[in-house]
Order: sequence, then C-alpha cells, then structure tokens
Amino acid sequence: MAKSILAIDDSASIRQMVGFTLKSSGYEVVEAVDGMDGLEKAKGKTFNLILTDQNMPRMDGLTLIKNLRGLAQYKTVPILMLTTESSDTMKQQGRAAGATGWLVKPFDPQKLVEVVKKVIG
Amino acid sequence: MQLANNVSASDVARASAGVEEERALMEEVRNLVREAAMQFSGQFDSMRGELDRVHALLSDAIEDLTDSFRALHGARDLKSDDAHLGKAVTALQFHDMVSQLLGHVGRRVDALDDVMRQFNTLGAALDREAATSDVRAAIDSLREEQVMIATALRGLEARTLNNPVGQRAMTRGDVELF
Repeated sequence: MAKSILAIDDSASIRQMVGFTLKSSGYEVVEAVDGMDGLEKAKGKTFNLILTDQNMPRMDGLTLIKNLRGLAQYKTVPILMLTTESSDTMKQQGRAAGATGWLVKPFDPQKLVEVVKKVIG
Repeated sequence: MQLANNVSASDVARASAGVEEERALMEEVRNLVREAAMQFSGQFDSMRGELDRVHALLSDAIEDLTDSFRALHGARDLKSDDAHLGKAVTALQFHDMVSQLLGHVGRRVDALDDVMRQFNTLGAALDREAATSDVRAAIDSLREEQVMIATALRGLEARTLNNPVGQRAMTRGDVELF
C-alpha cells in the first residue's frame, strides 16, 4: 500500500508540483490549502508524512506543527517544512516546534523524492 | 510715541509683522502637510491596485503554464528524474515566490499608507488648534498626534521586518534534516 503524504501550501502551483513529483514516485498525496485545512485533514486520517509551507493564511506552518505535535497520532510522524524562508532563526523555530527537517523553495523534484525516501522509505 | 519699558511703536510694528509672517508660514506648513498626506495616500492606493494587477496577471500565466505542463507530462510519460523535467518543476515554482514578494511589498505599502494617514490627522489637528485660544488643549492635542505618528512609525518597522523571500535566483533551495 502506498505511503500517504499530506502536502499543505496556499500556492496551487506548489501543491501541483509537489503532488506531481511525489505521485510520480509512488506516494499517495492529499493536498490542503492552509494550516487550518491541513490540521482538519490530518485529524481525519493519520498520514505517514506531513509536508508544509510556513507562510499561509489562517494558520502558518509553525503553528500547525505545534498543533500536530499535540495530537497523540502525530507525536512521531515526520513533518518537513517546505518554504521560501531560509533564515537560521526560522529554522531554529521550526526545530523547536517539532519539525523533522527544513527544505527551502524552490525545491528540486529529485532532491525532494530523495529526502522523502530517507524519512519514510 | 514711546511705549512702556522703552518699546517703540516701530518695535511693536516689527514684532507684529513677525507674528503675521510666522502665522502665514504655519498656514503654508499645514497646507503642505495636508497636501502631502493626500497625494501620498492617492499614490499608495494606485500602487496597491497595480500590485494586485501584477498578481492577477501572474496567477493567470502560471495557471496556463501548469495546465500545459500537466498535458505534456501526460502525453509523453516523462520520468520524475528527468533533468529537463526537474528544471521545469523548479522554474514553475516562481509564482509562489513572486506572490510572497508581492505580498511583502503590499504590506510595506499598507504600513506607509497608515503612517501617511496619521500625518493627515496631524494636518487636521494643526488646522483645528490654530483656530483655538486654548493653548494648553492645543499642545495636548498635538502631543497626542505626535504619539500616534511615532506608534505608526514603529508599526511600519514591525510589519516589514521579515521578508519571507531571501532568494535572488530560481536555483534550488537547501535541505536540512534535524
């Protein structure tokens, strides 16, 4: 059975590129349009990996991670940030919130697949 | 004619002319503040509209590009590790970065607009207080305006501090696992 990934980004083009890249590599991808939508979808089903943007309306990525880490089913599920933000301060905040890794946009599809395979196989 | 304390009529006339000149100058400054605030607000509104237009044009373009990309991918059965495909996927992410940059510029414009609105209320307060004979109340009112402008200026800095896009080229970003 394909491993499932929840991809959260307010940019439709990024969601499409992430979806295209990961589906081509055999993963099941569910999309969410912002942190709030992502949190709702994550509660409905336990994904193998969460891939989230930082700057989004309604709920940003860091707040989403803190919320997810508060749920029993997401205590150990890998969460990767995929964002344009590249400052060390933001990365430290991500790490403190419970992120597993930090990917800076624009992503290279091959590199994204490599990282996902490394994290969830 | 000689007035008390050896003040001559010509001294009084000179002082009176000085007061009149100062009053006229203050009037010009008030008009200038009001005019500048109005002009800037108009310019900011136009900038905001133009930014929205750029964003809409970009969104249309990226929608067409991704549709074509999907159609091409479906037709040619491309592999995700194809080098050209990788470059296309990386390049197609420009929309997200440009949108965020436009959003940041928009926040700068809004913050500057807020400061100019405060200058506008300062202009109105200057007009109002120029007509009053209650000097104490006038000073208090202008101090209040001064505080409002200082607060708006501090807000300007806070609202524009973090630019979410530091990239200067569409090269792929770093990856770091914690």
